[in-house]
Amino acid sequence: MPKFLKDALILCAITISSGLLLGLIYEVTKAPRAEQEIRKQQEACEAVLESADTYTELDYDAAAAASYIEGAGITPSEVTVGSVMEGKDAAGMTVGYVITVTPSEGYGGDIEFTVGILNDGTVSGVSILSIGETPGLGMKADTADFLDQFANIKTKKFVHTKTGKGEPTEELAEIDAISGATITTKAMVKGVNAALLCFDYLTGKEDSAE
Amino acid sequence: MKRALERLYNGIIKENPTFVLMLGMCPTLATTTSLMNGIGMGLTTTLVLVLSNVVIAALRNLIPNGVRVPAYIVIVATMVTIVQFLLEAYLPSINDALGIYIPLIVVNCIILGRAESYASKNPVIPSLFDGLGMGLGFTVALSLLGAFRELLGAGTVLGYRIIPENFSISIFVLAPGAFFVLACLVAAQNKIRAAKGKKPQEGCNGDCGGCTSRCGNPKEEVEA
Repeated sequence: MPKFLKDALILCAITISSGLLLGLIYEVTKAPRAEQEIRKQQEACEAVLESADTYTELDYDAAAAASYIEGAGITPSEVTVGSVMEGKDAAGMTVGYVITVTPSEGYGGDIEFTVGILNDGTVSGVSILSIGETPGLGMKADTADFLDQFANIKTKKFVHTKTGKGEPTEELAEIDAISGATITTKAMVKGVNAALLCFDYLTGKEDSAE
Repeated sequence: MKRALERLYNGIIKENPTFVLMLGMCPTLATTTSLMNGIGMGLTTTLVLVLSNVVIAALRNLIPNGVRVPAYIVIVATMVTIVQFLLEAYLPSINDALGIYIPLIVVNCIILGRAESYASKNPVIPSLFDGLGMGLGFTVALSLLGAFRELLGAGTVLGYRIIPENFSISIFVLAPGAFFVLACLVAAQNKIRAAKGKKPQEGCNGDCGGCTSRCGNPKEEVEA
């Protein structure tokens, strides 16, 4: 047998056995990995919407929601809205929604986070799932100091400010920008606003259906 | 046993992959923004290094010389993916902390370097300790780098505040800071070596056993 053929066959055998081994490990760990994924999602929901007991994924018209949000001034290229989880209490009543949004205009690209919104439109919490901003600057977005500014506020729109925030109103609430990371702050605020619009769309649609 | 200890000493001190061999610079510079990240990256790399060294040493007589590098890459990539699956399934908290670094390990040249220069020529047990020593050496180096960068750049160590926030120099947690700190640490360890009467190593040090370049004329280059 020529040398090159033997070499190729051995390399092929190594590759095939690696592939089989990977397939085996993939199958063995598939169920536990899926469980971890669900648990993680559950925890992310709990972090932003404490008052609910169970969370189920809501089936909604994503394209229509996106065009509703675009109509209000936030385009899909700025913020994409992902899955929406419906939070229910022990009695099975809907207490609010957990909306996953991904603004793509962070300094380091996409920032993915969840926003919990109660039935009356109050933001119950914001929690970051993935972020790749500058350490020491934009990364401060993932601290309670920044994120807690959104919590327990009922308003139509958030804006960032660099001069110290005032009292929130029904129409507008101010968020103190992270110093040195205005781009990150803008992306975060836009993401939360998109979640609020998505919530409007979801609840508005239910109203008209009734 | 003596050989195992020699391998550990070699990896951690004598041929420290970061400070002496200067291998794996990309993850070294990129992931050491804090002490925790440095430790995490170091230990994950250690695990992959040990596994891949053992497998490559076990298969060393089977892998043909002509296709050894692709064979090593397949083995290393397989090991990394297995480690990632296992962490995702059974140790989710470690996976959350290290998730983004794990795929980076495939392209870490320390792993390929050790496969080529040690595991492919030595039996399984010494290769295991070689991987462990190199991995720990990498961990020590990354932890030092991470600790200095976190202390100077963010004023904290492992998240505990040491220096008040107003005095932290954020350039140290950014990319240029990695170069500054690495350069200072390498200079410091060269100074210590020089004080002990050992010459700071530049390129070839005549140690053909631990070298991959196969140039064949060790002494000339060192004297030139």
